[in-house]
Amino acid sequence: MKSYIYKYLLAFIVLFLAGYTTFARQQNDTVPETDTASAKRRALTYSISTVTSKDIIGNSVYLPGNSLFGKLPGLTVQQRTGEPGNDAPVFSLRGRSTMAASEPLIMVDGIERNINDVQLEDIASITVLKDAASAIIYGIRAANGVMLITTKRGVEGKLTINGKIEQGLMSPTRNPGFVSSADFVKLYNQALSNDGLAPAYTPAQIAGYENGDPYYYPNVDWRKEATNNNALGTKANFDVSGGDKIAKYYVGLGYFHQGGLYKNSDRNEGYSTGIFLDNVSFRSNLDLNVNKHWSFGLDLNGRVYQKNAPYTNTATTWDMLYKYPAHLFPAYVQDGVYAGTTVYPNNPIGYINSSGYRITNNRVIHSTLSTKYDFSELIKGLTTGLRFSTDNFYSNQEGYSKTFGVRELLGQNGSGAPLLSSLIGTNGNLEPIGAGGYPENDVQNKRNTLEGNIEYTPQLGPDHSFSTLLIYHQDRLIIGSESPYNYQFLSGRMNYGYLNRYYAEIGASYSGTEAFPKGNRFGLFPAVSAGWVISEEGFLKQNNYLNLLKIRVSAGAVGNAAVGQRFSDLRQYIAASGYNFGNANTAQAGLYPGIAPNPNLTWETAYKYDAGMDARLFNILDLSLTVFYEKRKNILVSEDVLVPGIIGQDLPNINAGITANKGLESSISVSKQKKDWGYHAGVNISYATNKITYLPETIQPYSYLYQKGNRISQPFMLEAIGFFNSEAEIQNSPVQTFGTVKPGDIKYKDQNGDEIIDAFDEIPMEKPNLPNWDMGLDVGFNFKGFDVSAFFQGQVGRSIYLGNAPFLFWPLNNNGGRINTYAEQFWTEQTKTTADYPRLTTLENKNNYRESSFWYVNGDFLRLRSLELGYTLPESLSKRARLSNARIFLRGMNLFTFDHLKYTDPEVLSGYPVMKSYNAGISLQF
Amino acid sequence: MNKMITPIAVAFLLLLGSMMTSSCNKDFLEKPFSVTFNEDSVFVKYENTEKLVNDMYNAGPYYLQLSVGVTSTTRLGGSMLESATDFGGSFRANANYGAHKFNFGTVDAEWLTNSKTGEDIYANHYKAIRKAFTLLERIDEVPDATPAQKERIKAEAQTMIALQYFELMKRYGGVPLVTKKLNVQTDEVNLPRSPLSDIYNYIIQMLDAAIANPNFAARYDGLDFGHLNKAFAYSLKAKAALYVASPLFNTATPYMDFGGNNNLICLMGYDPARWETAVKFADEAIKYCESNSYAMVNTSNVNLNYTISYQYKPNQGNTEMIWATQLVTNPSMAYWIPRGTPFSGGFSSNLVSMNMVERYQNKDGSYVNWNGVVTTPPNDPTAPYKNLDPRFNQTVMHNMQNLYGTTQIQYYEHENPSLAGNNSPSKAQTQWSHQVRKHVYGYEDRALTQKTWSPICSQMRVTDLYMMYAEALNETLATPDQRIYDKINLIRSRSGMPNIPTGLSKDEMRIKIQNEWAIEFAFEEYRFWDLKRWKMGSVFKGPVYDVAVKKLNNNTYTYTKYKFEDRPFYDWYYLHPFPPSEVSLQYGLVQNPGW
Repeated sequence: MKSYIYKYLLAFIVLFLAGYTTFARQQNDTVPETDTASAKRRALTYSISTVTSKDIIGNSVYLPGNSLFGKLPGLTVQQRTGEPGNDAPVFSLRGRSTMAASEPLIMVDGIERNINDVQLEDIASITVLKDAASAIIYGIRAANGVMLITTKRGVEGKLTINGKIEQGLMSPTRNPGFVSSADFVKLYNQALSNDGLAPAYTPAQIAGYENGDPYYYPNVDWRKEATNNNALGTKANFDVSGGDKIAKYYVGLGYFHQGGLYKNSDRNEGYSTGIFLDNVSFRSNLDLNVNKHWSFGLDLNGRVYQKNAPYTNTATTWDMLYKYPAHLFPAYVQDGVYAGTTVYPNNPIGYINSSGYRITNNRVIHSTLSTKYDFSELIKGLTTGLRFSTDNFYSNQEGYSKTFGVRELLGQNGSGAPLLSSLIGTNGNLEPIGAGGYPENDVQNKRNTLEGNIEYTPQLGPDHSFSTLLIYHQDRLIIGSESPYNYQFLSGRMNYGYLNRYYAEIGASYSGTEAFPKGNRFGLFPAVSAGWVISEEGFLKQNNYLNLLKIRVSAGAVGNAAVGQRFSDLRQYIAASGYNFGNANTAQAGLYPGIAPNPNLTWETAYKYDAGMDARLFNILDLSLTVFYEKRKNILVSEDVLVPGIIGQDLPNINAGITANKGLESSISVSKQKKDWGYHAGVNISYATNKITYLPETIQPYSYLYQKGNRISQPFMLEAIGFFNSEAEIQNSPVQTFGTVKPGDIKYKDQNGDEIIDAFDEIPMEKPNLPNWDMGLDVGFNFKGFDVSAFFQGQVGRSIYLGNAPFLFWPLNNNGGRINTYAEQFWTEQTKTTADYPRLTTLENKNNYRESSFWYVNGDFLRLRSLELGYTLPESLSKRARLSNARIFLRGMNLFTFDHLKYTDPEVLSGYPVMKSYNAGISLQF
Repeated sequence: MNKMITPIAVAFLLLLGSMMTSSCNKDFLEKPFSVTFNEDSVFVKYENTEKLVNDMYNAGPYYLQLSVGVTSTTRLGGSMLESATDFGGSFRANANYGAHKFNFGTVDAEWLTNSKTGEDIYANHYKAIRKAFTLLERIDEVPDATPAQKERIKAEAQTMIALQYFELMKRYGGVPLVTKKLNVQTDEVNLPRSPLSDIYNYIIQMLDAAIANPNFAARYDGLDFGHLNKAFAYSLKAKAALYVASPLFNTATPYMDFGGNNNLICLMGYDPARWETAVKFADEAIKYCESNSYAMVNTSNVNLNYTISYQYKPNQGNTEMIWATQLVTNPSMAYWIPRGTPFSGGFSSNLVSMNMVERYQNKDGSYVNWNGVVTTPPNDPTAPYKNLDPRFNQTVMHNMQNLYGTTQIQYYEHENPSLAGNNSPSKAQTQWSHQVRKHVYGYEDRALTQKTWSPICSQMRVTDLYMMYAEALNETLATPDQRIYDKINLIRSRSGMPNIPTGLSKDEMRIKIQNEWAIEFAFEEYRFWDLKRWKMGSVFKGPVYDVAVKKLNNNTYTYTKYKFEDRPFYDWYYLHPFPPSEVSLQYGLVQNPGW
């Protein structure tokens, strides 16, 4: 199986050595540089968007994805958590068209790689391929769009050394607040009274909380006790690039450190329970010209990542910080002894600092060996290339876990000394995590790819242009002991241009994967596109204001092989628990007939149509507008709901779902640079909306219960229509079937008029989390050495479900948790006209605390992603220090957010918070 | 220079060419060998086939897998079906216990027959049936199985099919009759419901086939205990015959008029011969069992015979167990220990009503009068219970019952609650004053007994056959004869109870028989189905009584029976509904009337 790899590798080495000897003799040959970039750009008939290094470098972020918020029209970037190292965002290109995985394919220098393994500073450009024609090469994997990342390479010229160092101070964008202990006990008594129960806190106790006593009447803000307001980060980068006719090189080295918020992390001897990461990345991209026809490339990229964290789960930790009561016990009952109760045994400070720690190690190595040969001497315009890459990713976790005990504060003894309970839980010893001496979560991924291409661009005279490309690519990914993931494609495209005005292109990909049944693994995907450069027409050619006007259209079919299943044609019998036989009740293993085989498993097919216009006016103003329509078929969905249970078997998902997706992208930008001053401003807006056209759904009694016709992930919920204000109102209203209803509870609308509020009254309301509209706004100007720039990102047309963070938004849920300050007024008999929150209750309240429109908030936001002020030293000064450029800068990230929620971050409601940061740095170029 | 280029260029093109052609070599995408089974590879070895057999048994029925900790995934949320009858109730403070829905009349169809917390998952019966047909249809292919092994597996599969159809029939009436392994692609899968009589006939047909099989043994012991056997096949015939002879099905006018579909829920006419068939099948089963070393447990210990009969395994002296299920190696006993007990656990949700307690006779055949306040003599708190049927002590936990050693259960409230030393559990913790002890009897304190609780779930035993025989025979006779008295008295006397009075009329005898069913098979989920097949739905309505126990300052106790609640019973409760999600597929599955 693997022999082919070695075969090609061997051939490579032979070629390499042969080349080297030739190279030694011919290093004085010259390689003429042909610049066809602008011509190529004009000939482009696709929908793509590109950012280059300068567009994204001004972000004080670690992962490249976090530099892309709002930057690329059509690309929606969503934050999921602020935890150091885990804060990679989620990408969607042109919304989503499938219920399966919808992330775009990411290719780094032509090879599928994790974007997080690339260093932001090493990126030369990022291009998203949005329509079928641009992504056709990737055939069966192109339906969700493709993101191409190109890293920096050396260019012929003088050696350049860049150094940059910056220091950042980070703090949460927002900290959700809770009522004080004194307010809590009063509200708790109010909750008990709402339940018809006796108050739990006496006036004397309430007075105690009002007066405050850190020991007996505490008011603990666990977040403040356990976390700092700020954390520090450092970023340092250094790169060297340059080259001559023989060798070109780009060598970069970067270091990144991000500190965390946890306090007391150095309390333990020998280890830290802080959350922080250190990352060192290096890259070396080399190009060697053997002669004027023949060149080699050798790219190496590596990453050494280490993250320290408490042993315990971060999400749970933050839940505890938000749910542990402020009034029950102080943080410590005495020096070094955590307070707690049997109900609250996980004192959050102990949970973070006395539960051990874990270190996550990631090691990444990417290597690519490539060669190009230019056959121009034999056939003008013919070049070929070969590329072989091998990547490795290794990750593990090591560390120790530990248990800790707490003591309950029971009261005071006769002499006034505190009376403590015996230890609840145990103060355990450190236990190594992982079993048998092996680290935990030991993961090793390997990927090998091989690619060859032939490109033919003959010179056909001034009126004609022609180029054609043929690529063969194979890719094998091995994740641990899983069956390998393989892809193969043979793709090509052919572009013809006439008079520099009319362009047409066809492309096709014959591509396949192992996931599908034999004989059904390969698909042929075609695309066509055309462009008309109107500004080249005679009647427009002479004007000075219209520099470029082009319209383009494309259509094509591409696939999505990541349907979420593989090998479904093989019916798997699964080892099952079996049954217990015998007098001793002995378990005997079983074999369970798993899901029935699906011999027809196939890929999703996307039919994409696209039309756009690009223009440049007055040499300063760029405009672009693109509209698209996509129909996605063969989405893998469950048909269980449509097949009788008498089959007696779990049925496979089938390729039956259909969706439609449409939208637009537009951008406009101006920029001008004079000797002393310049400015630039740009805005891009994209819109996408989808609709489920077909989904197997059980027959519903009311038409509004169908997902069909709605957006993917459209939430369904009860419609809240205020609070019940009296018993009489409850009696006269439809029966709500989720639990006892009292005045002050949420009243729902009876959608079907059957006088019963139940699951049949859940209608599609509000919006999914994924926005319809995404926008980026960029402004900046410079004067002499100073420059200022700001970047805003906004999302419109999304909803936030507060029930996703019940500890924040559902006070006293199941008689636990705290009371937020998000609610302004709880419903009581006295406040019924002004209340904005339902009555408090200490009992389970499934009527209020369930998905309804009450718990949805408009999720639109506009965020100042970055604001930067820089000063570049005058050349006269920097020259004296032998510098070609020196700049100092101040930069703020995520400084402001305008939104409807205000109480907590609109993107990440709870858990480790999203950070804003203040950064100062200096960059030098030699 | 051109000299150099040409060979390199050729090498380059060759390499590229070979690569491109290898794209046609689709081996690259082959899935490598891995140890997984598909249906063909399963039937290559007997060892694998046995695993399929083991898996087939997973379908149950099983009523002991209760766990309050996971009420969201356990059947009825952790209560037994008795809690939905006049004999019991579920602990009320936890609203998750499914039996409440019966008690409140809020049963919804999808929950009842298509959810983990419901009573049944309709489609699971067909999964078991499919597994059995898979074995039946392919077992002959197994090269390394002996003919005897193959034949035995066939008989087990046939009995399993019959059992699943019986379980479907008693819940739903006539159901779609699947008689082979359906192929989704090629078979008609939109099967409508078959008439009730067809289901019954198919059950008997399958069981007769199993019985005719010489390789199907009368019993399987040792490590094989738990496998279906021929004695069970005989017994299930009797039970199926008894169900179709009983009033719910054996009638021309079903419990609700279903128009042209009446044949799905009744047999379209009363036929006394059905009782005779039930007698005949029960008699055959008894004779077959008795000639194959099954016998009613009848040791000299009248206080334990009952427990031996349902809780012990054959190697522990249980000679009457015909078939039992045992799904879990060691179920968590904490969830079976009744509430309010002084030892660890105590999460059982199953409460016993006074309606049940009052059914128990004293050892002399008299009844305790629970009407009015029962006051005990000083220092004799258990006076009203003292002379009850020994089966009571083994079934029910009551106030001041001696559990083991000197440990007593306390279900009382003090006359003066502030009295020091009141350590009885509050009413909120126990709710009622009687709890189910039956399945943990003898295991109450693991620390003391050092015994691992690995209970079996009795499905059929010799006394069951005796009861079936007596009930069916009574219906065929004008006046009960000695054969009926013999069977009933046999069961009573082995637990130290006197004979029933002689000279009973047919109707009086029917009441005695129903009482004996209730007591002998208490909390084995018989009551719920028996009341329905007898068409005694009004009994579900109650009223349901509990008793309030008070400890007075003079150390006497008072027991005051009080009405806990009335319950609803609607005619449509006689049969389960099909899951609405299944009915809504509109392939011909007609929902039962009323739902």
